[in-house]
Amino acid sequence: MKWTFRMRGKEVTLTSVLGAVAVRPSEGARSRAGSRPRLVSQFGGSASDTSSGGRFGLDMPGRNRGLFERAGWLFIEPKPKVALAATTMRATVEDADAVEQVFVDRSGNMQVATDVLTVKLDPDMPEAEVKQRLKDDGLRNVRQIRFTPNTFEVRAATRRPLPELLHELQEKRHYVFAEPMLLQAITGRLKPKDPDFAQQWQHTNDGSSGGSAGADIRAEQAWDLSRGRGPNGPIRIAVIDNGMQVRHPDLKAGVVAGGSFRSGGGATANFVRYTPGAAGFPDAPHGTFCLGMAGARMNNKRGGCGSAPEADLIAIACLDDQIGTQATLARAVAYAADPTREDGSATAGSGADVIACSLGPNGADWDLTSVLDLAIRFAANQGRGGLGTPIFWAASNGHFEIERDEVSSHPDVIAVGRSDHNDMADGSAYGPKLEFLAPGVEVYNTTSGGKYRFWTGTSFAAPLAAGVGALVLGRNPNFTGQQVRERLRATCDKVGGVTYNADGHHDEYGYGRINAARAVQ
Amino acid sequence: MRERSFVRRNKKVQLRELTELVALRKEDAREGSLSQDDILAQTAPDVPKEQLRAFENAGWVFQERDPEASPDAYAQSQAQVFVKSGGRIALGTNVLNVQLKEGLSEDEANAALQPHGCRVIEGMSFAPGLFRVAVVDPSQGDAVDVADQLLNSGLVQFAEPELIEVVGPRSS
Repeated sequence: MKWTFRMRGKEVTLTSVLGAVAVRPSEGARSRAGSRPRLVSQFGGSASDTSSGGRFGLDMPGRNRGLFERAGWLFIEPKPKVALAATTMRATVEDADAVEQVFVDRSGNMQVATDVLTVKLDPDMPEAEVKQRLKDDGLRNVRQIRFTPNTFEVRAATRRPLPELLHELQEKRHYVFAEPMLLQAITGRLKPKDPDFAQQWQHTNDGSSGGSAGADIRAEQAWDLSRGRGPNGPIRIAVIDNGMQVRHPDLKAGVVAGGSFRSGGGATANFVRYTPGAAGFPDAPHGTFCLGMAGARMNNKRGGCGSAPEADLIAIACLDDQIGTQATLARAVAYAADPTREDGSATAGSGADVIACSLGPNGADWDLTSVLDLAIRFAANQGRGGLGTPIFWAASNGHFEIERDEVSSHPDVIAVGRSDHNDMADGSAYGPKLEFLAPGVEVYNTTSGGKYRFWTGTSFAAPLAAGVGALVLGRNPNFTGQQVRERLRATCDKVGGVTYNADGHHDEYGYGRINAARAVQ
Repeated sequence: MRERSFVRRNKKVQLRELTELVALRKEDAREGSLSQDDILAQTAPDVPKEQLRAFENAGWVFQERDPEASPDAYAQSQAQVFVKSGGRIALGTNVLNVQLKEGLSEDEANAALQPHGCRVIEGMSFAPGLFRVAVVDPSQGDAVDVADQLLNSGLVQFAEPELIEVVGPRSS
């Protein structure tokens, strides 16, 4: 169920977590209960305790639940009277200091309602009139906020649902604003604890690697808002490559699906579905690195992380010995967008939200076949249920006109070039079809054998940018593929000390170097 | 050597067929006196060595065509050797990608393609009327010839020979 209200002039929509409520037991109840199950059973069935694998135990939506629980909140499937109290302001439940509804915002962050509102009335309104207005509107003053005139924290004077009261207040013209007071987990800026994170200048460049501080994608700021998970679950990134170590310790938790198209150097490829955890998937260091750039896991005590460390990864191997036909590559692209096209047991709607591919010759020319053209158009227009799947493709590493590569300069492809740790273009393909740059020179990530390394290539800029695309979708799950592209384009930093044209484009830099923090705002 | 061409996305694609060479799977190759580098250097000096290495790594061997051999002496494992623009090697196959003008079933597609010596291998469901087809009647010519015939027949939106090429990683 959605709850939409206005905040600072913009509509905010929260999704309620159906069937669950947040309860804050009183201190007395805690000490009397003696154990968590007994405490929980006062408000709901003990089996429904979210921390012990009940209905909401492991899959309750909403990030930061653990922080709320550490602060004394329980999330339970409530008894009827507890459920009723949660939806009604000023209703009380014995042994509970608070019983509230639970919501998830569009970034997947948990928010807990309260029975307090913040309201601001016309600043010129006399004090007596303010008091009368609050009383007439069924509000009781809890506290006046002194740093701005006629602003108060208020509660409803009588029992009633919060959304109903808020809607009434927002319709009244004498309120400058009326906003719910929601409990949120406000943590310090996320600084990954991965042991090699400091090597990953692509995320945060402090200049210690010899480059320029700030020549990075602003990942840490972005991760405060999105890490590749949206309100409906993780965003899915498909990485198409010759092979990858899907059981790399820094990747395996993220790889949820995939498959391989095996042609043995010939024309006809057989599709083999990948079952997560199974052995035998084609392995290649390049694809392992690409997968890591997009979605290596965060805070798992290993290596570094990818730009979308909470996204799901779909590993797609094709042309595993680097020889084959574009028809096989076309099948891989179509499979990424809609697995049912190849795999009869795949679920409709299980396709990727973002596609990254870093395959192609490094010379100037790559002619596009009609069949690959059709597959790209299919994914870009019919992927994601018709919203379109953004396709990130590595531009050629050679300093050539990008149009000579008909694949990466396809109108439905986002061509990514590489920048270095000084935010300078590094000699990849150039021209009007170059979308933007992302770090791709001596960047650090996963490679085969469970190892890590530094590596250079547009190959690695593309999945890094694809991960940022996933961050954008985490915040804006209903964006079309084209909107993702436009957001990324519009939020690039104009680096390189060059003059961009009236459209904000430069042949060597595209629309600039991608900036994840601005993209997810 | 002979110049070949076909139409792809409304543009003429030029190929140089190295008629004096064939590509074979390693297990089918004959003993030869020349190294791979020498063979290619003699016939196509403009082809970068990395291209050769990539095909070798995938189990392909380039050999001089045996003038004594009958046309089917190398059976199914033989591939024509083409050079595309930019010095890129492409191996010929007997497969084409075709998109038929009408939305036909596989059976209907087979019936329409049979007079051109073709048989459907598989459909590709991400676009209507899209099939991979094999040239099964050598009297019609090779896949490049048949692509041209099909395009002129008015039966197809496009018909393109499937070529085996290097599609490697874009890293240094």
